[in-house]
Amino acid sequence: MNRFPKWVIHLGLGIICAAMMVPFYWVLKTSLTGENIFAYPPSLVPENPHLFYYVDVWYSIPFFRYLVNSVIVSIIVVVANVVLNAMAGFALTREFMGKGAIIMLFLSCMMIPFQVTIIPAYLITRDIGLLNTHLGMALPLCSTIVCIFVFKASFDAIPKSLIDAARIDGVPDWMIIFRIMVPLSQSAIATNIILAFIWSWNNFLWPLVIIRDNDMQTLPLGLARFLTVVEDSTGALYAFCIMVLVPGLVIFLLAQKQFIAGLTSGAAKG
Amino acid sequence: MAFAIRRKRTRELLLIWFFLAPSLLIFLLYRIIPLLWNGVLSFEFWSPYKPAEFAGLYHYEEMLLYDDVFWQAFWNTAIFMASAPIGILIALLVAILVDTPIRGRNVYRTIVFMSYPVMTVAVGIIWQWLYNEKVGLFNYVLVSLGIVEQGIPFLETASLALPAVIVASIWQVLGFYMIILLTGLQNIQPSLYEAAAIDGANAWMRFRRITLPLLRPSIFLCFVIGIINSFTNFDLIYVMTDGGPSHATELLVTYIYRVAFKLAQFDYAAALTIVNFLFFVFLAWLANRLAGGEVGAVETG
Amino acid sequence: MNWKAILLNRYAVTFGTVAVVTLAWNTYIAMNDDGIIGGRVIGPQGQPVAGAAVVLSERTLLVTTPRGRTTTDADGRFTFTGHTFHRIWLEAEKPGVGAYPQTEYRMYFKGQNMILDEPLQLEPSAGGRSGKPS
Repeated sequence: MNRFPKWVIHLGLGIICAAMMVPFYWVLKTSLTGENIFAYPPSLVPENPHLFYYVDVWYSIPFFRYLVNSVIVSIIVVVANVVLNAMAGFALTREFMGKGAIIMLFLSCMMIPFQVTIIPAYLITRDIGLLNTHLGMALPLCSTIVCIFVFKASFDAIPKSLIDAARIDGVPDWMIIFRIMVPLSQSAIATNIILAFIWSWNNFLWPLVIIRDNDMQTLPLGLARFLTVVEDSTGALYAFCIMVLVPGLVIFLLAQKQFIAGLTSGAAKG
Repeated sequence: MAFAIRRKRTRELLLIWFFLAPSLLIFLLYRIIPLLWNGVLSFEFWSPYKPAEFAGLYHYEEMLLYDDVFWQAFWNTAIFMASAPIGILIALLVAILVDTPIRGRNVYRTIVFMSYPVMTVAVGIIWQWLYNEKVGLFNYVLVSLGIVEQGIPFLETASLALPAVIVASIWQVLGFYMIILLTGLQNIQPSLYEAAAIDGANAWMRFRRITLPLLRPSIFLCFVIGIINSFTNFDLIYVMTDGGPSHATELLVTYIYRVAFKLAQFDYAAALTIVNFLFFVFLAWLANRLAGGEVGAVETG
Repeated sequence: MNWKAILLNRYAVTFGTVAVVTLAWNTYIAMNDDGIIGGRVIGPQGQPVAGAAVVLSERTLLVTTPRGRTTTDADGRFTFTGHTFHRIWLEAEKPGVGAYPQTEYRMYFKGQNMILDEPLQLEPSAGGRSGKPS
C-alpha cells in the first residue's frame, strides 16, 4: 500500500529505533565510565570504560539475594497461574448451576484494578501473617482472570468428540489431560507463562507495600531503594540498573514471539 | 442406574467447584473483600491502633471540598490520560512503516517493542538520568545547540515535571501500541487496497477510507491501555519524582500510596480509593458505550 | 525425544552458557583470592627504595580505612598478604626521599591477587609531608 521509497522508510524507522535505544545506551555508558556531575560536557562515547562499578555493586548490595527473591516469586506466580487458571478455565467449559454468576463475577472482578485494593489487601496479608514473605508477594498474582478466559477459549476449541472418543476407549482421565488437553492448549499455556512472568517480575507497588525486610527485597525494590540510599555513586547505580535489566531482556529476546503474542492476546481479551 | 448417574454428576460438580475454588478464593481475598472493606473504611475513622468510629461522609467532604492535592492528582491523572493519543499517533506511524515489505522489519519491530517489557522502575531510573540537570542527555543537547544557557532541572521544575514523566511513559508503552496496531493492520485484507487502487483512490484516501475505519478496534484498545496506564503508573512516578515537586506529578495512585503508607491515614486513603475506583468505572463504562459494547476492560495485573 | 534437539535449543544454550561462565569465573576466583598484593617502590630517579613505608587502605562506597602497613626490602619490593577487599588505596613514603600519594587500585573480586606492573614512584614532596614522622 505504501508508495514511499525504501530509503525513506529505513530512515524513518532508523530514527525511531535510535530514539528508542538512546536511553539504554546512555545508561550503559554511564555504568562503564561513571559520570562526574561536575565535569562538563559529558562525553558521548565511553572514555576509559571499565567494569569496576559492577564489582562495587556486587559487593555493596546482596544482588544475588534480590535476584533469587525475584526468581522465587516469579516461579510461584507462573506455576500457580498455569495450574489454577487451567483448572478454573476447564471448570468453566462444563455446565453447572451458577456458571453464569461465576462468569459475571470474574468479569466484574476484572474491573477492579489491583491498585484500588491495595490498602485492605495489605491489612489482609498482615492478618494472615504473610508480610515479608515470598508467598505474600506472589499470592495476589496467583490467578488472573484474563488467563482463565484464555484457557477457557482454548479448551472450548478442543472438539468434545475427541475427548468422548478417548473416554469410550477407556483412556484414564489424567492421560486425557496430559495427552490431549495440554498439547492442544500450548499457546494458552505460553501466553499464561509470559503474562504471569512479566507481571510478577516487574511488580513493584505490592512488594513495596508488604516488604520491610532487606533480605526479602526483589530486584525492582532493591533498585528503587538503591536510588534513594546511595546518591553519590552514579556509576554503581547505573551498573545496578543494567544488571537488573539484563535478565529480563535476555528472556524477552529468547521468547520474543511468545512475548508479543502473549501480550497482545492478554490485552485484547476481555 | 439413575442413582449411578446422579452420583457421577455429583462427583463432577464437586470436581468443578474444587477446580474453581482456588481462583475464587484469591479473587475473593484480593479483589472483592478489599473493595468492600475500602467502602466500609471510607465511612469510618480508623487507624491500626484505634477502634473504628462512624464518620459518615467526613472523608469525602474533606477530599472534594478542601483537599487541593486530591484535585491536583485528579487533574494530573486526566492529563496523563489525555496524552495517550500522542503516543498512539507515533505508534501508528511506526506501525505503518514496519508494515511495509522491507528488509530488517523484524529487527525494527523488536527494537521498538523492547522498551515495553522492561521493568518500569528501571525505566524511571534511566529517564531521571537523561533529565539530569548537569550531565543528562537532554540538557547536553539543548546546551550544545545553544537553545538554553544553563541546564534545565526538568524533574524539579513544577511546569516541566509532568510532561517529562509523560514522555518517559510514552517511550515505554510506544512499542506495545505499535504491536497492537500492527496486528490490526495485518488483519486488513490486501484485496481491499487493490480494489480501491483500481477505483482510482490515492494513498491518503485509501488510508482515510480503509485503514482508519478497519483499525478502529485496535486504536480503541490502545486508548483503553492508555487510560489504565494513567491509573496504574505508580512505579515511574515513584522513582522519577515521587510526586514532586510540590505534587506537580502526583497521580491518584501515588497519592493514595502516600496517604496510606507514608501518612498512615488508611481511612482517608480508602475514601480516595473509592473515588478513584468510581472514576475508573465511569471511564470504562464510557469507553464501552463509545465502542458499542464490543470491548470490555483490560487486565493489567 | 531427541536429545540433540533439546540440548541445542536456544534456551538450553543460553542458560547453559551462563552456568558454564559462572562456574568458570567462580573457579578462577577460588584460585586467585589469596589476597596477595606485590609491587615495588622506586625513587624519583627510578632507583629502588629500601625501607619505604607502604600503607594499604580499604575503600568502601563511603569511607577509607587503613588496613595494613609494611616496609620495602633492599630491592624496593613489598608484599601484602591476606587482604579481603576489592578496592584498595596504596600510598608509600620515605622520609627524605619523597612520597607516593594515595592512589586507588581496583579489582574484579575481593582478595584478588595483584602484582603491580607499574612501580610506585616516590616524588620529592613539596611542603612538610615527607618530614612527618610516621
